[in-house]
Amino acid sequence: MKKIFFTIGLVLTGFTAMIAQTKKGSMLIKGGTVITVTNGTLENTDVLIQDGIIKQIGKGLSAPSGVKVVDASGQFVMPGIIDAHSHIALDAVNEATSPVTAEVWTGDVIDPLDIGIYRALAGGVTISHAMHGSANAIGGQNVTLKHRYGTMNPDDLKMQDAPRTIKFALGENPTRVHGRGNNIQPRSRMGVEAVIRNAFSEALQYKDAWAKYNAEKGKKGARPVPPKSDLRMQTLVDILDGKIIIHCHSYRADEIYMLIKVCQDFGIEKLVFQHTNEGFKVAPELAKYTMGASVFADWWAYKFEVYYSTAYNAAILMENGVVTSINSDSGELIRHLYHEAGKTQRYGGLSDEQALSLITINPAKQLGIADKVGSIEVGKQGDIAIFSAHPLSVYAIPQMTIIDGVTYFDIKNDRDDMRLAVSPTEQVEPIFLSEHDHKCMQDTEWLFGLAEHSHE
Amino acid sequence: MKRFTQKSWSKWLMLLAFLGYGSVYAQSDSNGESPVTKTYAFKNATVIQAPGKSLSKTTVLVKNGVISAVGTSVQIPPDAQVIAADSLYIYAGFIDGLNQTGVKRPENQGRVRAENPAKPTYTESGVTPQVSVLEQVDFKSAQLEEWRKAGFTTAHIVPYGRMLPGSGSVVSLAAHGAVDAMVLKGNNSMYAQFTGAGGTYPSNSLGIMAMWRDLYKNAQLSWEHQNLYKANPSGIERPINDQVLASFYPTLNKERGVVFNATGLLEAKRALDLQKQLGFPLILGNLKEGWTLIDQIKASNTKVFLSLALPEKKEAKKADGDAAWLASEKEARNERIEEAYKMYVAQAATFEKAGIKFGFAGIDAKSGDLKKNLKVMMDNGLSETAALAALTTNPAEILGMSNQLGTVEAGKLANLMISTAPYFTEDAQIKYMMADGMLYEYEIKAPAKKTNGNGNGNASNASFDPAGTWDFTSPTPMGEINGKMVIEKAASGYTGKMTVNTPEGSSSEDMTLIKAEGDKLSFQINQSVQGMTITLNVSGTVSGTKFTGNMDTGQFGAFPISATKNPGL
Repeated sequence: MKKIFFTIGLVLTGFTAMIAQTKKGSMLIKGGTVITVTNGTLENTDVLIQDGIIKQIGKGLSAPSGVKVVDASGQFVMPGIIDAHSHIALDAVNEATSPVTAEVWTGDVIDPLDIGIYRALAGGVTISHAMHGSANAIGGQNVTLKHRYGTMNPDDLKMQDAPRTIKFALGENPTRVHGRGNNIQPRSRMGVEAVIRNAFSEALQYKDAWAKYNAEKGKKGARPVPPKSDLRMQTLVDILDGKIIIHCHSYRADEIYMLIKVCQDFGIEKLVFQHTNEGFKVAPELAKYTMGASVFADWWAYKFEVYYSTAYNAAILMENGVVTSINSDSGELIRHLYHEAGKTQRYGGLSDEQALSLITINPAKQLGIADKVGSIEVGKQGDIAIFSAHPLSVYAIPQMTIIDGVTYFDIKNDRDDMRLAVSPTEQVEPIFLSEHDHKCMQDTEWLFGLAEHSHE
Repeated sequence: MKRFTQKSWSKWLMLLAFLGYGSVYAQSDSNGESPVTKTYAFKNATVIQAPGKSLSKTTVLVKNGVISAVGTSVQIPPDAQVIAADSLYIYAGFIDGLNQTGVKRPENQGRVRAENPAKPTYTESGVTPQVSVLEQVDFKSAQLEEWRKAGFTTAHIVPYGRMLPGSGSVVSLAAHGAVDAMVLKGNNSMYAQFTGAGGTYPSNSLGIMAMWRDLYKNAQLSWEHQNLYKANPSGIERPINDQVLASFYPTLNKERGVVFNATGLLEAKRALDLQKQLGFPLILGNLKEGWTLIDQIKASNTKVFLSLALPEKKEAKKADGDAAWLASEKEARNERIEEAYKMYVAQAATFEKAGIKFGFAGIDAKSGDLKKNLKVMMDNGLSETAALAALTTNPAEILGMSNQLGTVEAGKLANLMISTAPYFTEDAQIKYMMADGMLYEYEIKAPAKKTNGNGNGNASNASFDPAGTWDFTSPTPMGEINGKMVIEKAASGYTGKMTVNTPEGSSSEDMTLIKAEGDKLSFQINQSVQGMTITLNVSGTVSGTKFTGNMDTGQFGAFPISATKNPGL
């Protein structure tokens, strides 16, 4: 069997850096109950992955020579779980110093050494959306990660074929950071809207200036002076041009509807709402005008704007035709998103398939990667989670997590110490006594002093 | 209330400093006064001309700060000061690839929060590439001597600051009396760090990466605009002279590299990513975790200065009272720490094996740890030749100064390190340093532990008792000073006080580090004079009740001292 995790020796010789492309594997997963999510559940079925792609789904498949066989009889095979809102594997989350920081990108600060990646794998999660924080009205761009743990190279974690996404944030976080913290706009929800509208208007002018320059440049004898370059404006132009999906941190129905209107005014169609605790109040609008909402199962009341919430939110949204997903926003919840999804059966009575779609095909749709992952279908990437029982059962235990046909978690080969990097001097790594896993407001602590707990 | 009284002793030292007095050899010429001679001949030495190339019985002739001849039949001019070097080993002076030797952090560089953190000025953002490190250099800094006595004659120094602190320069570590005289290559690099501006944009790596791209792109556009205007200003909007963007021009044109202080794996990777996107020549400075990046470093032709600092090895704690499961867990953890430690200390060897020519960066290291850390690296696979190359020829090449620095060859600048034995052997001590043609001599300490050669079993310790009262006298260019040294035996070692009578008056000073070994007596006096700490190193030989030796003031020279033990007191 191939060694999944590079040994120290290989790391020493820079083996990982030599691989231009990430690893693609082949395997035949035999005899499991295959939950395709999009095409029903198939008993006693085999899934053949070759060179990272699902090639065949059927009964009695035989492994081509050299392809290893994984016996999944008595087990449940589902698509790799996708978390549409996470901050694991990042060593900076917020560039909180300006209300608009569209130019920054979490893809620049990936930390492949974060043990949180392995913990997520151990919960069947193959993809996470590593988001910028919620300190700014228009925050930074996010990166979609495949949890190819074991590499020291941040590039290996990037899902290269995922489209660009960007974080927006409404309500208390941006007004607290900039209004209260720095005494600049936005200080209120109205200010947040103004900041966003101004930014897009400015971007239109920027686009215009460059268009004029480029047109002029082509003319004979013309000597135009180039305008100033501004990656912040360019990113906003790309949003206006439909190249970037907005993922907006939001809670209240009024501000959700506000952003829908703003996007309509500027002709922006790619819009997903995150958290969306009052989404149930504007479900038809979300269904009609957006790419969906990514919500918590039952998490609220950690600040004033999050009191009006319900555990029925996901079910109400889904029944109203909103593309709905359940996310973690946490290095802890990410390990059991299948439990989080299961809660919608208690609160809202969703079917198995509906519940599982909340953590597979729906987040894939919201991230613009549903044609590649999110279900078990021929032609999709070989991202699979295998469970000992039905994943919505509280007795289910994740057995194997597979990405691109390569095993990254195997409960039978789960070493005690999975850290990739170890301090050369410290016997015990620092222990954090306070809750450390909600990082939406990470890197903004300087604004509030240490006493205030910035939860979410 | 604090009453300021200037000690007479301090006054005397100040005057001495102004006089710029040199010892017989030292030519610290802080006043611009000519030394006795600028010609030196090191006769019959073993010369390690370049890494792996050794010449025996060779004379090195230095004239006016330049090596004028290296050979076995060198004509020694009559004005040369001849140094018998039969038992000495001459190397090229070491070059520090990245440091802040002699650089002082400007006082106004505290954390300033911008009025509007979202729209800061360049300075508030820590973007000051137009600043030169030379504005922050203190040519009197004791650090120059600290690094010089460790073997370094040259350093690439960089300014204090945040994201883009300013430009670095290659300077001589000789005691030049002025900053300008130190400069070998001014403003030859653009210094960069992943240091955010606190509560101001850019506050961390996220903003820094984006700001780099923006600055670089705008520097390109500004360059375009400038050229358009230069070609024909008619009808063209006047370009604004933006000093920050203008500082990028030599980098855009690949005439000046960017030196990133990138210690960790992720920081170094980010610097490499910027290099890949923007295309500037890159030097990774102060690298501590670079072994997984070797292929990218090679592919991008990135230059490297590995950190001279190494992790402190901590012995694993014994777990005697632990339950078996806990003990085994601790042991497993210790094994991983040990593995990790080995990767760090073997970094230089790993780079050598990969065929990368690297230099060293002393910026996070202590000058006194050089030899110890080199030994650790060599115990973990670094070859002697590669170690020497990393201290001499490689940094010379990386800094583009191979025709001036790095080897003991005629025509190069007179930067030499002269030791009593092959440098990498344990007993080797530095006897002389020559930096930019200026000679510095160092006291050789007797090997500490060896039993004495007479075989009479009277091992170590002094053959005399230093405790008692000594009357001393020392002729100095400021007039003779004299006084008493009272040494007392303490629980461990000795304590002492020195009463000094100078033409300016008297004072009493604590003697520290009093050592009596064999027939040698040495001690130190630390004196703070107007913000400068001057360390006097006194050492010499005791014969009966007579002491004769030298009082070395470092950059102000050394002069003889003699003392007699007073039996009556």
